Amino acid sequence: MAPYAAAIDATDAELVARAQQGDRAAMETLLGRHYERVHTICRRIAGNEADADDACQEALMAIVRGLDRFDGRSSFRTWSYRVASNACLDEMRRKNRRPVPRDMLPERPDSGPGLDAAVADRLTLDDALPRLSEEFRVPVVLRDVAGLDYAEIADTLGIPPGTVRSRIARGRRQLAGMLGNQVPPGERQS
Amino acid sequence: MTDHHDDLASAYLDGQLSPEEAARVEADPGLLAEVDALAAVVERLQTEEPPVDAGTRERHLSAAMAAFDEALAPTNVIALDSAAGRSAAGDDPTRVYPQPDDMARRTAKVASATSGPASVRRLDDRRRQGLPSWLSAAAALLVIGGGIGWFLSRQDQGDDSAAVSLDATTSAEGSGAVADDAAFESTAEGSPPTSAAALGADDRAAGNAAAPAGGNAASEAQPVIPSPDGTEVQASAPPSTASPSTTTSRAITSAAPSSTTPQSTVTTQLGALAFGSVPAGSEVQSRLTASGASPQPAGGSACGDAVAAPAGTTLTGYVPITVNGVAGEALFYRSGPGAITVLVVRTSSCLAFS
Repeated sequence: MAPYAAAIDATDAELVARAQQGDRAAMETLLGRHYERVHTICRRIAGNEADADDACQEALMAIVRGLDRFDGRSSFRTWSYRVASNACLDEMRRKNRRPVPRDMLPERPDSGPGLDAAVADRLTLDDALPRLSEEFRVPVVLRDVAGLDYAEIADTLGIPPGTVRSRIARGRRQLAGMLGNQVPPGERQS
Repeated sequence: MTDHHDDLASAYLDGQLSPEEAARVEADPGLLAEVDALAAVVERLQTEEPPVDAGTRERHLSAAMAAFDEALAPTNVIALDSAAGRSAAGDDPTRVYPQPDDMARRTAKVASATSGPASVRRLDDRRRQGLPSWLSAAAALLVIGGGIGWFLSRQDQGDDSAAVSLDATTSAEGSGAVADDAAFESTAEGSPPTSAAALGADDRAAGNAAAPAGGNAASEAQPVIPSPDGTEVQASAPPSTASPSTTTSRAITSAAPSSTTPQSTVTTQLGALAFGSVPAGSEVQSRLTASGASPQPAGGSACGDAVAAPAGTTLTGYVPITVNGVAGEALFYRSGPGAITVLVVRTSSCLAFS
């Protein structure tokens, strides 16, 4: 069976084992399989598209370079999202940037009547997340987008699990407030 | 709504409450409403994003796979038949990536022959921590000047303290893809900053397992220093306690045994196409020789003049040298703007060792 065909049907664990032995097709399949979620994590953590682009690339490279250290105690999915989160945070720290204030973000297309509800939801979430302070945004993203548990988030961020719990709670509450008070589609101010 | 309530509702969503706390939430309509509100937020966060555009995805995945390939850089050795001057890896000289099937085998083989894997570090990171550019430029000029002065002084003194040896270990595994890997290794102790500085090499050599034999290595003319153009090859010395290798390698080692200054090492490889896959902005640290601890065989030769320029590269400079009395050149190639510079040692005739 051709390497790529064999890789497509393999489980993550099988692909990891093969990639750790130098199997290029296995590595490529693994990355492709988890790419979208990694990108989403980076986008949510970074808070804007431009930084997310750089962060995602760094994240993928971190996953590749760290694969030798993956010991299989957690799933590849969990491990890779955690590595990606760390890479994103490192990238953000390197850039020493805070999320771009909302009024400095590129103007979004007007969410007029033609936009369906899902797109409108995404736009408002995109608006809301960068307004959440990094202190709350990152734990919320790690929990609700990356799917890490409290202990993993605590380990990733270097804070106690109790702090993780409270920050997630406060972050979610702030987000709920922002999203609940949003300007309805079609009436948003530019 | 209190923080405590909020904390409970959020933790309830995550299944982080004790049975008693969960029962308390479920008995409180206010908390249940809060749970619903937060659940709506979570649901929106978990909504699938539209797919990333194909170009961005391709770019990201390509960069990641390049990192994967770089991590296996030692396996990307283009084995050269030193007698015929052609690639033993096949007719395609541009072949850089080993096939998946032989990746693991080659990785294991290289790992056994070197003390550590090659690593690739981004220059960007190093440069952020580095010196200001004007200071770096001044340092480079100083090094180049020092190198020229060193060469001139060596010529004047007719210094023959440098020794050159040609080290070869032979293999019982003559038919494998790696078995006939051939590499030149040029080590200069207290080295002139010609090739070493030009390539940004600052590694210090440990003692070479191969004892130097007789011979001289000195430059015959002032070096032409290539411009690395933002990239550099940083090479390191072979391990002093290298495990016996089953690969065949041929190395040129020059050393000034009386020197007490730190050794500088430049490790080169014939047709160093392994660097062809390194993207701009990368720095290569690589061990390219598989020389083992076997004693030098008596007699033999290696022909460097048959080595063709690495495919797809441009000659950017050269340094005339003599190795064991044989005229030769250290050639610097660059594979493109901002791309990696490689060094190839070439001699005008076969090198003999005893």
